[in-house]
Amino acid sequence: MPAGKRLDRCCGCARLRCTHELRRLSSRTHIRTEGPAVVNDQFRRITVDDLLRLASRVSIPDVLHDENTVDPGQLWVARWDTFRELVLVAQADASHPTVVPVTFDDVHELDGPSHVQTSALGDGRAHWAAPRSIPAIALDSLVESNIRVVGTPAPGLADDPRAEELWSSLNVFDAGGNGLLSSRLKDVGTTPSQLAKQLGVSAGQALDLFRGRLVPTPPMADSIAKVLGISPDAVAGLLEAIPAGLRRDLSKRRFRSAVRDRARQWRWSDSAAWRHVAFGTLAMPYRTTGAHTDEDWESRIERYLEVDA
Amino acid sequence: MNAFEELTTHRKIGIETLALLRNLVAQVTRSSTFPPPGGHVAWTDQAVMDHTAKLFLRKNGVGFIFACLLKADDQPSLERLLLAAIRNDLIDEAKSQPIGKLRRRMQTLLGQDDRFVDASELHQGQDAWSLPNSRPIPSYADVQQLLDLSVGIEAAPILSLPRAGRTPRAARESLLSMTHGVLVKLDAALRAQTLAHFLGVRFDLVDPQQVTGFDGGRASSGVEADSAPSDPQAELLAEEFFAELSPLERSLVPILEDSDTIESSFGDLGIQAADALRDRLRVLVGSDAGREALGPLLRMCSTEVHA
Repeated sequence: MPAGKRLDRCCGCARLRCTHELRRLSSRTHIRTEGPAVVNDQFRRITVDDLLRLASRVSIPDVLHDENTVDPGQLWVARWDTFRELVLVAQADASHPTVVPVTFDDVHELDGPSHVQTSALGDGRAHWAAPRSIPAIALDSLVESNIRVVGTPAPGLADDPRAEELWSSLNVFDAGGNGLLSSRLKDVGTTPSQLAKQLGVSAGQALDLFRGRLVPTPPMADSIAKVLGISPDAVAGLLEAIPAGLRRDLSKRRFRSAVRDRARQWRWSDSAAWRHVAFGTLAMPYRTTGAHTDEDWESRIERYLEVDA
Repeated sequence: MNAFEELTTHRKIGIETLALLRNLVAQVTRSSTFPPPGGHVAWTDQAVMDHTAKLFLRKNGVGFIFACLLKADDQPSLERLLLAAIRNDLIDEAKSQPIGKLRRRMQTLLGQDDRFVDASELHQGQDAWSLPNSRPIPSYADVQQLLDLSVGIEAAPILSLPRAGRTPRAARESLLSMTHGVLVKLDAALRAQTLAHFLGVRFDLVDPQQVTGFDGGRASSGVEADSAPSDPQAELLAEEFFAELSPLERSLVPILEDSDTIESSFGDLGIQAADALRDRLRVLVGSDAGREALGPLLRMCSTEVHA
């Protein structure tokens, strides 16, 4: 393309004219040109081929899907319902490890303890101000172990107000119901047999629902919500509270594939499947010898999953 | 095949992923006001390509692409994640630029000073500042207009400003009194970005190396690019000459030979001023130092025009 045409194309650009003008002046006055635009002449234009060559040097990291041990310094992909985040394990725990989010799209002025070095994803930033203890069952795949944190994180972790929003989709695990479903249903004058008719379920199931001992499927929750005039999400809050021990044990990573399989099979959200398993375990007859302890939930969940499979 | 399939099945970054990245960079940059990369004056195709290359070449390499891939479930979610990552990166990039840093510095300084009030609601939520008694209207003055307004406002020159950390007292006084003076004359709410840009130019805080030039596409001039700082004497001479120019003359310098543009932009007055300016420039290039000063002078003028 002739120079004149290129200049026309960019006629709005005063700096181009400056360079152009400078060159014209210089040819007449024989002065040496030095302007900002000249500096760029030493660079060759980057092409798609260059980028492909650059890209061919890197390989996509392998991730482990069957790792069950959660250790400090591991980088995991957390994946639950719509929640997706890369997290660094700060404190290990089989049920509720404490993690901090790690990002790789912001590497300007990386410094201090926020700087983490991984071999798979390069340098990232750990957001220590947004720690959270999350259920291990939300951890999907292990990207890398023993990732290096440059410097030591400050002991007093300040709470970042934005953190609340980030983790809010995991609040479902904290939600302990208040068990008020039966009284609310009675308040609007619904009996178990009416409920059975309305939802198209057996009388036994309706009774269990009435008592808050059966987790309603999403369509059932919609119907109950309509009867009560509340949102379908609020129905979960009216169920019986899930015992802390059951919540703890069902948060372990070893139950992830079983819960996620059910979610896929029924096309429910992960949380709905998780609640279903929790209530299923709770409702399943269980023989105890002596006093009931908080320790035997894990075996009960296993039993339930076996029976339910 | 789309980028998500390419990455998950072929396990490499190929032509599809690159095309997606370039599209997303173009989409983000053309729908916002991020400054183009060094060496460019606008987000041209080549500028988009250069920025995409920069994403690959920097310290973190392609970690952000993999991070997005690990979080993605399908092509649309990959696109959403990459788009957010590219935007975040550009925001951080802008923050790390001299004007971005100055803007953040001014946000801190103005926020601590009772004379100024936050007026972001007048600029659709963008950071903006005003005075308590100013008219509640947004000002769309550009940097050149602010520079014209600032004539007569007294503020000590800022000789040095640390790259980060607290603002030295003298510099703080200068920045705040200049801001106050301009806001009094404007009598409206001014965007923080424009204010920072203006202050950067007014106090000469913007590194000339950061001033971008035209992007490629031209034959090499054959002149070895001289990245060494210009001769101080030439710089001084250029500054003196520049200081004597009126705003009109400063706008004319970069387009001096383009009489048509001068006439269309500035009319007869411009043509007359250009003639006078040519004579003065001829005098300037009569000496070695004067010829050396031409480069810095053009840079100053075009910086101002572009600002």
